[in-house]
Amino acid sequence: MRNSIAIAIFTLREGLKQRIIIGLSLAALIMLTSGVMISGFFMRDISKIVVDLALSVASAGGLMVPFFVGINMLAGDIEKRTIFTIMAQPVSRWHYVIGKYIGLSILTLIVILFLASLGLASIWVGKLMYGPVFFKKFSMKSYLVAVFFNYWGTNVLLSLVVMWSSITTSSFLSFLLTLASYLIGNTLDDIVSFVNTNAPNNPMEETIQTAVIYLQYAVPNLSAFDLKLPVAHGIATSVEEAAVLVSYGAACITFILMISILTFNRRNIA
Amino acid sequence: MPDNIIIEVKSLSKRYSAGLFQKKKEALKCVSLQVLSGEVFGIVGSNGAGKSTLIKSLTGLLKPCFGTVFINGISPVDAASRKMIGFLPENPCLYQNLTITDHFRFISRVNGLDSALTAERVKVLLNQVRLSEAARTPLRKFSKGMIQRAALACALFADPEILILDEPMSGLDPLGRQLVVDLIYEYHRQGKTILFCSHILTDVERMCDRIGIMDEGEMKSVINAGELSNMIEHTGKTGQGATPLESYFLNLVGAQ
Repeated sequence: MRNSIAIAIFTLREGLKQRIIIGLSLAALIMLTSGVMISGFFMRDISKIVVDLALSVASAGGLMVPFFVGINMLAGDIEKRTIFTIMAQPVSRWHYVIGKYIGLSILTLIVILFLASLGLASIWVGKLMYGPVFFKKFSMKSYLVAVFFNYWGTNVLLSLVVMWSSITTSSFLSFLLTLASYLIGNTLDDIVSFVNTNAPNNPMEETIQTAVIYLQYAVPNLSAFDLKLPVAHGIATSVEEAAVLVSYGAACITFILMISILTFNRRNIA
Repeated sequence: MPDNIIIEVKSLSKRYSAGLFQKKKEALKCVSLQVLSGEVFGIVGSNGAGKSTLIKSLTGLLKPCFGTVFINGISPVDAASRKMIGFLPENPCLYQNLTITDHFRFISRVNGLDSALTAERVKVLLNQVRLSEAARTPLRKFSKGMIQRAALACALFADPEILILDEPMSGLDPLGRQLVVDLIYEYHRQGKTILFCSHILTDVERMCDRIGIMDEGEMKSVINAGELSNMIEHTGKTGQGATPLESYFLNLVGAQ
């Protein structure tokens, strides 16, 4: 595990020095500031708009890590052959996979925490500007729970980045496959409920129904981790629901990382 | 069979699938090789001869299709084998946003070196590769020669028993080349084993105890550097103005 931690620290160091992180922070600052101003136009929904925007910025910022930094630092590592620097050392391939994952996960945590703090600051400014009466429904606990599950969902996506980067040989392909997994993972709930409605005027082919049913077990349901809307409406997440989500995420991450290690162990690095 | 074999390659074959139709290409054809402890072993060959493939198989980056490789009795699949190896890849790519010191710290961590030893090695190596002034500069600001020297320092950092260098002189100016030659001699004096490949035959001839000549994925010949002149006398043919190794190489690979 010492080697994985060394790789994680090395990855984090490299990740924090990526220029995209600075650009991301600036963009988030501009969005949140303008968000507080714009929310004044929606008098009865000020709280909803500010909270939703704060969580959306944290979520979008968190997504930048797997899509841009993560793919660049995993598939790009093999493509640019910087991986030789690590693999020439006495580290196993599973150390590399786990180390990279942990490093990127910590980087995601830092980015999300930073953006969530900026979001909290924007809520506070909103309270000062428009008065606390508009923020009665806002619950700090729900906000933090939503931030945590945003992080947890991004971790599942990160594990998919690791898997696709272990399988493919190009960062572009890895990006496309991650994007496809993200889109499927986020629309899966809607597709499954659409298939289950079984509208009498529009009967669904049995093959499609079966395919969708299997697909929901094959692709992680990323939309399950999105708690922005309930928090914006002041709806709390139950402990049971949170426990199920944590376990589901952990199971997905473990399974996907295991596939990544198995694949990465077999591949040539050249 | 000598008992001080430190690198042993037996019937190593490597086949690649390349292109749209996954056409098979045989990069290594039943290569066997023994490198003795403390010697400088050079591998020469024209482009595409399989030198880099052989070196990547020794470091565990490539999985052989057939045959075995042992580094001091340990398979390269086992990470422990790389504890003994310092590897300089061809056209090395280091992490551009980090500094050379960041790279050293990482190598120190994975090799379990203590902080006092790390600090000492950082100082000595930066001095040796003449990068002391650039210790805190991100590598994206380095020239090609500086990157090559930085990568060489990374290979030497954990003070490995075996140095595997893939084209160590490429991209270096005459001063840089001399620095690499001096380092190789220095490590040879310390009793380390050095295996390097190059297609600059003069470099190989002046530094190596034994030389392996590769062509089209095969190890055509392994010769003692001291016996080169005698061998040329026997074969008779020499290239115009060519060194003994150049003449031997040209005879062997049939370019004359």
